[in-house]
Amino acid sequence: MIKYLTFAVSLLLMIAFMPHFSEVMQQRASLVKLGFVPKGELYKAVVGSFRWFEGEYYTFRSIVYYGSKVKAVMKRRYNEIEYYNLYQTLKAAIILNPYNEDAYYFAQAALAWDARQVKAAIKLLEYVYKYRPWDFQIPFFLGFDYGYFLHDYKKAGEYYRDAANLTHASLFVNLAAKYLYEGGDTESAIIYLKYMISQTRNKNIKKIYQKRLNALLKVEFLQKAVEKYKTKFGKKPASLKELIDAGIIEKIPEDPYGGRFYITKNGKIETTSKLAEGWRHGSNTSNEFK
Amino acid sequence: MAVIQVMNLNKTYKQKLKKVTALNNMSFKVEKGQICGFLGPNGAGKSTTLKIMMDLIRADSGKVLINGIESTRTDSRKKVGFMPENPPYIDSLTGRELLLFSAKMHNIDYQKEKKRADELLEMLELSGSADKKLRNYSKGMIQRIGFASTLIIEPDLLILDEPMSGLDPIGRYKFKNILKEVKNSGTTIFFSSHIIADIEDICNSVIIVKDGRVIKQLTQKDMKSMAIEGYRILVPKDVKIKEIEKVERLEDGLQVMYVKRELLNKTIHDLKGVDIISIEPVKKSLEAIFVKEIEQN
Amino acid sequence: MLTIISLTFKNTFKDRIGIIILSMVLLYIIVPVFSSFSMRQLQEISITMSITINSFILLLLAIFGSIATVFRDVERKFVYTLLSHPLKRSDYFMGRFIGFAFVMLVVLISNFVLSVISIKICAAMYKSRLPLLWGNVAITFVFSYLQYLLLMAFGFLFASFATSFFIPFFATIAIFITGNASQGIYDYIFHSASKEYSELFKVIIKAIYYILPNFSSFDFTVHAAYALKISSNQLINSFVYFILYFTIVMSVALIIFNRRDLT
Ligand SMILES: Nc1ncnc2c1ncn2[C@@H]1O[C@H](COP(=O)(O)OP(=O)(O)OP(=O)(O)O)[C@@H](O)[C@H]1O
Ligand SMILES: [Mg+2]
Repeated sequence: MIKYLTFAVSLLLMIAFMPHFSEVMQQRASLVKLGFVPKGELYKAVVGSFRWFEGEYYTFRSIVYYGSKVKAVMKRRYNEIEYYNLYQTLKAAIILNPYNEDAYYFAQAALAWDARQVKAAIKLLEYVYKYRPWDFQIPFFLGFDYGYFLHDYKKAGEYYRDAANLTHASLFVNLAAKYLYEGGDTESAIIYLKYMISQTRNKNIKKIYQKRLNALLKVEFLQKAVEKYKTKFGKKPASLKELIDAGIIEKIPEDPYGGRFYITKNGKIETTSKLAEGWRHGSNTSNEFK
Repeated sequence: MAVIQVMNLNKTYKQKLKKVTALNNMSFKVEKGQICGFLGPNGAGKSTTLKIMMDLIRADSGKVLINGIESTRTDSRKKVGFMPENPPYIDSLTGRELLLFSAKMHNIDYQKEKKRADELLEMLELSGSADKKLRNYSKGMIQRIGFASTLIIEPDLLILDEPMSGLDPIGRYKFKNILKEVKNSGTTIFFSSHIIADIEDICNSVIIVKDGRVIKQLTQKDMKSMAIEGYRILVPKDVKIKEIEKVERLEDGLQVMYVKRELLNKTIHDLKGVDIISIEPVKKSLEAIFVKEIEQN
Repeated sequence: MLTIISLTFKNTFKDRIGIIILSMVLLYIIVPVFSSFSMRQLQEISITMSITINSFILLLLAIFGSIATVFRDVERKFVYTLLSHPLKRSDYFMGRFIGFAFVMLVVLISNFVLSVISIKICAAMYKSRLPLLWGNVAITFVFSYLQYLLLMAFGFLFASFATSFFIPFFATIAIFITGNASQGIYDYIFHSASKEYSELFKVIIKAIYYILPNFSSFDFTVHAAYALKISSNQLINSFVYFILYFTIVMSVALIIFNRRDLT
């Protein structure tokens, strides 16, 4: 009978076709687009009790989207990433469901460092903090953002103290103390990244952190060498090469971001790659998100 | 050749846990040009048989030939009009649309179908509601429009499942007359019913079924011969004749005499000069046969 | 079959549910209104919204219009009075399908016209940095039509054996949801989080992925909204996929419908 024949033939063709099909679909996957998400406030009113799931769904979508863009992030081709839409999506996600940990966690991860939309990240974090006052992670992130990026050490210290009060972990007590007296940027960034790595389940995003942590560990290594040089010779080294000449280090490590390390006038280690400050160099959105 | 040949049909309905045997080796034939009644108590398997004839459900074994073509083939239904019990028509159609739709399904010429639809609506007294939606029709009206929709295709064979249920007495009477007319134009009619009087009135042959089997088939000859057994003659009390089987005295000075069929002429001759009030034929009723057969089985 | 097609077509436009669904085209009014909430993405949002509204209407039509109709034909025994004519069951089934495919096409075309109008309005309100590729918008509409034809085929498949309305109704909705999610989940498991899952799990996911319909392959919304290039390879791929998948589903539905008892 024709029907059975049609069925059998098309089934066989289908089986033969599927591998090709999924391959072509894979090519399309790299084109994942986030697109626009309507304003969270508006949405919240419309979707009713679906808002919770809706919020989680947007977070999920953001994470999958960002995960698919890891290559671009690692290569610092930031203009390939729709940071603005990412911000909007996350914001909608947070407004729909401010209790969702993933949402603010991921907002911090993607926005604060990669996109350098620190103020936007802080705004979202502070919003969530109202709903999750028990959560030490939020003041921890806030402290880090204020200290490391905005150099607002007073605020940073306050938030770290909040975090310390919530967990009683010595880590935060130290950080709080540190920020109240001096700006230990590199060290706090290393602590922060180690924490983020330990908390991240998404392998791709972990890679981004790992790379950054590597760079920072090298900065720290050089910074320590500079300190050693100072105690030994009583003056700052003029260049990194002097560290080798003095036998303190064997060679200058490589910046994973492809830059070159150097010493500033006041003895700080910096790199020409600006440690993945790439967004400022390449992104299409140069003003802060609103 | 028989118009309908039902051969050894078996059908068991499988419901979740229990099985219901609806047909148990059902076999019969319907000859051309007859009105054949399909008689049986509730649940005898009448509707099941008709549905298998129309290939709406499938028999477990056995087959049905309509004009020699197996009922599982669509062309067996050419020129066959079918009306199921409580006919379910798409109720968003109007009566007229239903008729035109049926005609279209049988490739009837457009001009012809329009004219015929009007005639049929007229005949079944539905002209007034022809353009009302079927969902606003009463049960009897649905029955009538359904019947019209089987007639518009100019059928050679009509298969009707309880066509007269829901009709009022006048409707029944008219319906039976139409059936007779249709039969006279050469159409074979096969219909199920459990109203014995209706079948008795118009059928040339009867198939009696019970528990999914044919228990008695009455041919045209049987129907004829079962006709008149004798007569009831109503006369005044004081009349006396010999050779009368049975006499029953009534009040008001009357009596009833029963005479055998062959004695009627002689009796009337004997009663010359007597004031005969009435003569009624006495039939051996289908009902009696039906009840007897059902109870025996 | 032609008679069934035209019956289906006419009745849908007369039917109450049909009218409700068709009146949903009024939703297009909200496109410019809603888009104007956005500050710089008016054009992109108007495109996305137009496509989404079209999808939504076609979804309703597929489920409440067509699947419900076939189910009702069987449930209320309308098939008794349809199939007692010399009409093949498969002709009835395909006739119903094609009738609804036509209805959908009409709705799709009117949606497209309305979309063009609303997108034009929005694009005029704020100049986007992206070009407006009407070809992409049209392709998106065509493929969403294919998507809903396939979904409808699934609905017909479920209606072909269902004995209660809930089976075809919920199964079709479930197919719609899983069909839309399958590619995303597949990508996530095989690319984003590849190492976290066991091989067995992946084989199972792959099998499910192959069996479930992949509605993402018909989704060109972002290409339309963000003026991305659509390669002909993609189009052919999705089209072949549609043809094969559709044939399989429809032939299974026909086989089942042909065999069942219409009690
Ligand atoms: N869809 C069904 N599922 C299960 N059993 C059924 C089904 N239809 C009919 N039956 C059973 O099959 C038997 C025959 O039913 P059928 O409808 O053929 O009887 P009928 O002679 O038409 O009765 P009636 O005079 O009441 O119309 C009955 O016992 C009935 O219960
Ligand atoms: Mg019956």
